[in-house]
Amino acid sequence: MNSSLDAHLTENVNEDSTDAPLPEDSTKSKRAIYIGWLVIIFFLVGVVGYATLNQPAPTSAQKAHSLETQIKCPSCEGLSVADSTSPIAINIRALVLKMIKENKSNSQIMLYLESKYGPSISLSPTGSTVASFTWYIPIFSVVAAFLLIISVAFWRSSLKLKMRVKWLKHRKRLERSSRLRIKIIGLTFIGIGLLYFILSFVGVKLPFNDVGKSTVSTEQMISNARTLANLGQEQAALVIYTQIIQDDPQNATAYAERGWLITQAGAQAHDEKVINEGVDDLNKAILIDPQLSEAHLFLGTVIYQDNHKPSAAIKEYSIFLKYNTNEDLLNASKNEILSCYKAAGITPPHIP
Amino acid sequence: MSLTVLVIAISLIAILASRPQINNVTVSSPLLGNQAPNISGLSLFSNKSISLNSFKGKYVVINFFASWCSPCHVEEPELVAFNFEHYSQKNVAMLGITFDDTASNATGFLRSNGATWPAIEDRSGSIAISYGVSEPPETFLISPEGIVLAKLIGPVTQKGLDSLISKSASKN
Repeated sequence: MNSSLDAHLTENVNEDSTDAPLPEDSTKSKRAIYIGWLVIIFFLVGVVGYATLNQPAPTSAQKAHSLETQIKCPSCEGLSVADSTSPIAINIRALVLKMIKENKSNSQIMLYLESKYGPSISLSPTGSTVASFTWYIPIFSVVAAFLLIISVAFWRSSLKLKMRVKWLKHRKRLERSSRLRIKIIGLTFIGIGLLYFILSFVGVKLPFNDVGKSTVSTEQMISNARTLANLGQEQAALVIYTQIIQDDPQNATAYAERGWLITQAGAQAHDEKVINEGVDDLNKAILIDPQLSEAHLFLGTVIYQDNHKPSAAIKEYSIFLKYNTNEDLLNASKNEILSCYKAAGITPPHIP
Repeated sequence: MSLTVLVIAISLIAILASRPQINNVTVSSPLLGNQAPNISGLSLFSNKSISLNSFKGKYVVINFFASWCSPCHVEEPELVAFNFEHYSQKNVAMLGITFDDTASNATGFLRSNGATWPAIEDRSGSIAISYGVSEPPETFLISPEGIVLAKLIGPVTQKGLDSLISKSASKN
């Protein structure tokens, strides 16, 4: 292969031996353009690579939220289940999170929902292979554009090689091998970037991929869990709180609200062990955030109602009253707190 | 004057004629013609375990309902009449599934309407999702072999359900 190329180059030297050599300035200018192209390509590849490597791996909650935005709310007009508060949307959200927790892929979840509601349940074409291909055309186009720029650059350099071969034959070989190295390095960067993107997309956990967790999504999950708990679907709410805690072990609100649900379930079943599990969660919440008023309210209520220790409960209630800013919570718990103070034989503070 | 009355009368007739049919609206579903997803749970009335499989050999009318749903109140007397009609024949079974409702409210709703068929509380909504239910009332007709024959949205009538069963029976 190399010997035939050498023969071709030698032939070109002989054929072009009568041509006038190119001016030195022109060669330098072309070399500058060539180097400029390489700098641009490396800069772009670097930017894409950096952006790809710094893309955080989605948490289960984020994955669920992302998928929820692609699922149409069956009982709404033009809304995704992520944006809807209808009962079926809330149930689908809980189901999506549960299936993600069971390591089901996005396409498996979409296929399941499509098998029940039909293809109209999907707001994006994730369910169909052909449609998915169309969806990713822009990404493929960008990659193709990079490859095209590189190809053009090398094609132009090969033209230059032909023109300069008359008096730079030995240097050309060196440059060619250097360009080949550049080409290999450039394509390797692009390949790594693409591989990283594909692996991230299919959900493989990768290094440098677990930074920048979104608090918005966690807030959304807490809101979902509260809605479910208010609808009497405590089990689904507990699944969500547990997921939030797995994703963010420092989330005091999730610990507090999960603890409250568990203590309530334990109280209903008259199971002291379950109540204690809930109390553990409440204590963890207070340990993480000692000023989290709702955790003190829940703990105070458990101590007063389940442990029948009003004096001990007052300590928690007083911290709740000190830090609470939620008027609804205060109104809902006011009578309970006053009753506790009365049971302890202590004059209650003024509660607005 | 008489012309005005005539115009109004024609307009009213046109409006009434163009109103959509609200009863027995059958819709397409990916479940049609397929084996019905299994349902199991505790009966709201007896607290005994119920499974859809235990009704094999009978037509089964599965009704997703809620006590807070107005169209459910409209259709309930029709379902009660339909159940009464087939009660002695024992060829049809009925199964209620709650939709976003508490057990006590759903039980109260069924009792106040004279419904005696078994009903299951679907707390997580998983049964509703497995049947592709969007909002109540939705009703499914299942063949004696366990195949989904029809999906109806909105209130159903006794006559409409009878017609669906007759159609299915005549095909067999």
